[in-house]
Amino acid sequence: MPPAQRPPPTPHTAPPPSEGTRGLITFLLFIHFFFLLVGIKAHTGSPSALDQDLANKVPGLNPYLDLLAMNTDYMFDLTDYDINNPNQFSDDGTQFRPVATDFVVEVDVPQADGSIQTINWPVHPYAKASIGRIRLNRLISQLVVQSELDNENAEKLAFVVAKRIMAETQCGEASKRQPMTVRFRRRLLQILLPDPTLTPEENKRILAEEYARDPLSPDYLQTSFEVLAFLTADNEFQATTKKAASNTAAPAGAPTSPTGPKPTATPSGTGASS
Amino acid sequence: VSGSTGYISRASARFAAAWNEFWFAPSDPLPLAVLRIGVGLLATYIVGSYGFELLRYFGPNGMLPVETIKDVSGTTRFSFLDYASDAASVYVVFGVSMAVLLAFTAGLWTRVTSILSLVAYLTFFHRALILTGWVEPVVAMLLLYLCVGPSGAVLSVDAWLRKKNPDADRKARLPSYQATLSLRLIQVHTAIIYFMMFSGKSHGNFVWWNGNAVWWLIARPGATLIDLRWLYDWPYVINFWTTAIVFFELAFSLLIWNRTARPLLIVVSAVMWTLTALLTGLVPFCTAMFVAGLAFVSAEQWRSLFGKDGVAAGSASWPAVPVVER
Repeated sequence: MPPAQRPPPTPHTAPPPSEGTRGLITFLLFIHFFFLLVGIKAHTGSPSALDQDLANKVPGLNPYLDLLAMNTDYMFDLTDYDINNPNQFSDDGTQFRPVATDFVVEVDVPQADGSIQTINWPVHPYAKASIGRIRLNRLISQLVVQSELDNENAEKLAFVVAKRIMAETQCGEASKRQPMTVRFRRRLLQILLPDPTLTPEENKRILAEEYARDPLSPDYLQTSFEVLAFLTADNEFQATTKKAASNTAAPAGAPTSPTGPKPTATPSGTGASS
Repeated sequence: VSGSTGYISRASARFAAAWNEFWFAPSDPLPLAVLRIGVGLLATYIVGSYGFELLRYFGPNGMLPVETIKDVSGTTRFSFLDYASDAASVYVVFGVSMAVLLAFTAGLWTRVTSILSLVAYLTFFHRALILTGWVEPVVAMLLLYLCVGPSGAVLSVDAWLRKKNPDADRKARLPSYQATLSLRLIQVHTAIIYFMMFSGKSHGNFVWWNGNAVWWLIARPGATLIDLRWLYDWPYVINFWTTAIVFFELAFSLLIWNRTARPLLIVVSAVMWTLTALLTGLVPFCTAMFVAGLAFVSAEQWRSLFGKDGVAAGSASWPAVPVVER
């Protein structure tokens, strides 16, 4: 650390740092920003081998960034585009599909009289743009995305969500006779960009038709994950996956899971980030 | 050889002087105090919003059991909530966290509560890692750097309590290198975030480059705060708006360091983030980004904005000291 011109202490300012303090702070600044920039670079879609090696091998780098909630690339993309996910591109590379979309949790709640009541959970919906809605959307988004990647974590998440729903709907006793069913459903929306091959009137008609659809209509939703949950005779919670990444409920021409057939139109969706 | 040596020597000396000026020249704590209030309110809102669903997420039958979160996120991060095994202890952790965050926002025992606020905030961040989006890391960054400087020197309960001891009060308000250090860390990190946001949009994300990204946001059901679908008939407006967002992020990260461009960029950021909040519904995130950008507003600018007397009547009078223009 080369010597610097230290301003003389005056009654108008607090004491300046000593040379040793400045040296120490400078060293810590270098360490901090080195860790930060390596972490950022390593999290981007195309890190170099050096970035990856530094991120994985420099002692303390990952724990430091994890601890301070800085282990991210900060590439906040408002459209929920995920550069790491090749499935977001259509075959011809011209269409884009966001990972995070809007989700609905539909539950068949067994009743004491043996009937089934179907509800959307949570029963009391969140306010528009509330942080609670965003958080739940993120949770279900992770679950659905993991299930589409055949990751076993999807099942773990789905089971804890089902357990919570059972507690809130208080259907534990009834589930001993008839299991509770939880369907995690992705909301579908066709892309609405103007088609240059159509006339403005035709484009407007397509737009009007799209938005005239009922967002809760069964034709508008695609089941991504389904769980059956029940209590055993010993009041132990049990759950099982009924089917994963099913597209049977998808309407004709609607988008499918990333690994499935390509859609005729590109879906849009609501974001789950905040 | 001697010419080269002389050049290196002069360059080193200039760099060292610039470095010391940038990080260690004393500055007024007022901008930090303003940031403390904004960041404190944001952090209180983010943690407080868990209050309506505390047991749904963190309770004994909650949706975020420690083991599941560990498996899903692939990492273990410390959180006091991991030790809250029943509903009562979850409520205690939440209550203490809220009390700490409110004290920090008000500027009570700020040196201690700034650090405790970071711990409280990270307790919820780490446990609810899979629920976090974009606002949480930004607020975490701001809370961390506010621990470094005297953010409670003015506009705080601490300043009000110090009125009985004028000498201590005067000393606490003096421009200090800690205030500069804290502010500079926020500024540099904020500029990095803006640049990475630009980079994310330019790095192969063609919906931002072909000018249609804003329409993607407008078309999402239930997300936008106002219905902007009428812009379907105005594709050039959509293209311009999309491009404006991308280039604003680039401009902010680079030109914010220019004193002439700085006020303009701050004003544009207010407009840009308000429109983005309407467009995306991501009000906390847009607010956090705007608040982070306020780190570039100098003490003099804050004074001229609010008026000396108006703030003095609140909790503290302005320090009668020379102000270093940041």
